[in-house]
Amino acid sequence: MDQTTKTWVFDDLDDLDDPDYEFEHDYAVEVQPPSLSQLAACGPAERTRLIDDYVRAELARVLRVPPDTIDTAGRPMNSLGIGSITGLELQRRMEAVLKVDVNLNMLLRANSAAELVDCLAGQLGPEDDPHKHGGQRDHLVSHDLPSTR
Amino acid sequence: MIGELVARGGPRTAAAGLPDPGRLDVWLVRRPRLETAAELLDLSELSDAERRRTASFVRPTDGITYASAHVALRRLLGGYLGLAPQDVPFVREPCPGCAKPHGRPAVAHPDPPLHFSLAHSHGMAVVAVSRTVIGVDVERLPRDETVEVCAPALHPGEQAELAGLDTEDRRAAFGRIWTRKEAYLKALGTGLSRDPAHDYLGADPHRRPDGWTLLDLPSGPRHNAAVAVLGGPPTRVVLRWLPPDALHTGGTVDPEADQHALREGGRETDPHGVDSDGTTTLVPDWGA
Repeated sequence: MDQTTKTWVFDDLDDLDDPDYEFEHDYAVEVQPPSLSQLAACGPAERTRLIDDYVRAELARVLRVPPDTIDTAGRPMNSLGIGSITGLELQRRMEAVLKVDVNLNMLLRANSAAELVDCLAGQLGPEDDPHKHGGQRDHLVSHDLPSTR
Repeated sequence: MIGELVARGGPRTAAAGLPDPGRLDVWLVRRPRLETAAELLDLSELSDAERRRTASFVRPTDGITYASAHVALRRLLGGYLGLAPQDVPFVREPCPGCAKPHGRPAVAHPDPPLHFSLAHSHGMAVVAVSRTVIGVDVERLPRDETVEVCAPALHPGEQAELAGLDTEDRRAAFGRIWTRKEAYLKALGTGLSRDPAHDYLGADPHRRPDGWTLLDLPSGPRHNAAVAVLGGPPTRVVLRWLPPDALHTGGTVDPEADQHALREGGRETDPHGVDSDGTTTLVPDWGA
């Protein structure tokens, strides 16, 4: 396709009303993750609350919206606006902070962010927590394994 | 806004016939504007699940893009197959990894008469239709920050290509690599259950997976798009905008009739109908 035609074909996309094409309405979110020792030391309810706050903040950072607008309970990831690239970004940010493996495919298919929060909470408790498991093939979240990448 | 989108009686579509073997049809779809979508879009042919999904998006524009993509898909496939859009029988093929029914979406048939792939992102959708296995992807151009975080997840050869680029070129290059990769993984049927680092889909066609053809699709300044085709290059690639009113109440899609219109009034980018990369590109005057 020559450049003239390419310009002609796509000029009309400029009038679309989607405000974030060039990210001009970006909402910058500063994420303050909980420490792993903090997560391991607290009780299950508090751990879930801390992880919920953290996941909400990461979602908000990736989606560029205020954290309090994120619906963690009732919508699948896709409906929140998470696509494959933003899902990959979310996966990599959470893995780097929480030192767990997050299955990208299962992350994108999760019924809600709350499902992700619950899985993370199960993996980030004390060392003897029976919910911990290794290997990421069959689980949305699993404990970090050496040399997976 | 999306909640106001209601089902209305829809049209039936005349049979237009299947694409010729070796031909790849690519349809670009743009969503209606936010303020007119509820009035214009016809959701009557969508399934209950599709309508629920339409209403579930946080951003109304995402819901309109999703609905536009699925109305377009049903009307297009109905046109190719001679079925009413609401009667197009979708199934999920078995996953190649675990055999569960979450593989490639397909038309229900023991030996599908056509293959299709659908992708949508931020106002734009792409539908590809062929007689062979295909996968398509479209993505909004990623932020530089996103590329920074995500690039280490790519194949080492892809990472090396990105490493020497400046910011703007790197965003575009990442978008091209990722859309080729996701198109390929969709065509494989694995989706992103396959490690994105496993396959090279970078700029060098000779290093890409054997037995597949990857084509970058023209997609404007804010998106990247690509299609993966099983086997060698298609003998003919026809790229068209879907007419905007094809999504509206009473709108129809007749791929063959549109093809006639193309021959009479559409734009062909080369007198011989073949671009420098060996593909044919025809663009109608809709929406210009």
